[in-house]
Amino acid sequence: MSQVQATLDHLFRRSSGKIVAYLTRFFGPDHLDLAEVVVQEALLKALQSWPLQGIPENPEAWLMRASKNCAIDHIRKSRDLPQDAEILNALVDDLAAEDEESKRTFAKELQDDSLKLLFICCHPALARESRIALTLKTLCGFGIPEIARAFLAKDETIAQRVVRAKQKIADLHLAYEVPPPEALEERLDSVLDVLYLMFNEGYLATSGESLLRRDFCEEAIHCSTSLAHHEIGQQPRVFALLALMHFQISRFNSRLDAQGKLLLLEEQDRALWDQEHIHLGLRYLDLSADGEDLSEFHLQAGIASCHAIATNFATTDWQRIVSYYDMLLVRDSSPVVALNRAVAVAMSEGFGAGLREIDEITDVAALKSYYLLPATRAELLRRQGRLAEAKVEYERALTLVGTEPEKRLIQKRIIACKS
Amino acid sequence: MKEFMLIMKGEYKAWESISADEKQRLMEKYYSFVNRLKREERFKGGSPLKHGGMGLRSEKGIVIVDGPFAETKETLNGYFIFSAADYEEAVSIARECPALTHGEIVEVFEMGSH
Repeated sequence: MSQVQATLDHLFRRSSGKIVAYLTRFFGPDHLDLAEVVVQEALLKALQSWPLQGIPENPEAWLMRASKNCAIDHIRKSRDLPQDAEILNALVDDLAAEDEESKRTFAKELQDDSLKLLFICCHPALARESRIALTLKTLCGFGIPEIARAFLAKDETIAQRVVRAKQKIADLHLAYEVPPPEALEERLDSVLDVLYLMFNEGYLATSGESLLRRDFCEEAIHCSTSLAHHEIGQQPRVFALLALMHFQISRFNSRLDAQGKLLLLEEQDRALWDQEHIHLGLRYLDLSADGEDLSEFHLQAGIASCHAIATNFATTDWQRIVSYYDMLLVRDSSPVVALNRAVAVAMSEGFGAGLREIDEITDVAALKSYYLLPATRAELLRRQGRLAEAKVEYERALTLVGTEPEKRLIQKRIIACKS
Repeated sequence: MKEFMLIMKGEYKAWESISADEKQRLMEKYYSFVNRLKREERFKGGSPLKHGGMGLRSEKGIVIVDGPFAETKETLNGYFIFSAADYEEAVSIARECPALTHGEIVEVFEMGSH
């Protein structure tokens, strides 16, 4: 069993996205549904025949071939596709051409197809929340219930988003292409936004099924990596985003203790940080420094890198982190950024200085219901030994907090303030 | 050793709608199940069955072809033939059949004449 899993790591899910991307070359983006149905049929064939016949030597090629055959069957049976004969002939030709030469070009074409599908799923014409749902479903191969569970949404809500996105794609007759140079910047920004959201969705929320969440992070990294390895994606901000993702995911397993309690950066066992990811993060950060472009991803990756390479919490380069936050604030005067900056100031200049920073943003309306504001204040007060004041702030935070592990963390602190 | 037939019945639609990851997990379970039967030299054969089979019955000497049965809730999805010492052992093996983990019904019969 374990041997099977090692070789087939998410094979069905990963292949389904690739094959949908490939079939869309023939069906067109107006018929994403058909491509998805065809792939699911091919997976079902594998489900039924592999246990008896053994797992094929090249499982992905098997699934591809089965999908092509299913696609041909579908087109022969149903006549509601435009240019049926044309699609059919192209598919049959493609199926026949399995010589060495075509195999070489095929791998490259498949990569292109996956990118084209990524650009379709993240098209700026689609609603933002639809883009991420469609990308997770169609390109990353997750089921609607899986996506709904991760977003704590109803199945119907997610299904609706996907349906609307597909409808929009069909209405606009979007071209299946790697965006032309004049549109590339905007289209790329939209893709990066979705991948960033997908990663954060997997990383930040601590409710729901943790395994699934890690899958979202890994898919975001997977898509970003394919982008970064393609000529159109070899841009500093793509590398910076990848660096950020690698730094963050390196800490994934150290963020909860055995009881599922959330651990702060300071409390995490740094020996659990995944050095391989940190190493990749540093490599991409290096690549991202080539050129003039300085995106928010650069700054966030810069902050993450300071944490990743610090041997402990106290010796972290907090001054450098403050300077990154200063640059972030220039671009995005978000109070959340300001709050994070205050923490870095507290660590580099003292708790009093940090508290003064926080006092300046306490009255910002956007932070009124943001539990991390009182929680951060409380934390700094506690460290100054002002326990009674800290307790009041923790209690305020408790009324605003969302997820269970965070609640437990704050309750633990309140108890500590009493003693 | 006696030979037994294990048949799996269920709603075909339920299979179609599960996600890619779930399909893969299910495939892996069946793979392990079959491999165990093979390792213990019990495996005699098996096959999935395409849905939408045809039914035949005779009425007043006329054979009527009925079906497909795809509309009925329970369709026959596949079978295995394997050897076991007795019913007790056959049932204990059938308990491990992955079909049971996703709501299918499993039936075991000893093969041979009455």
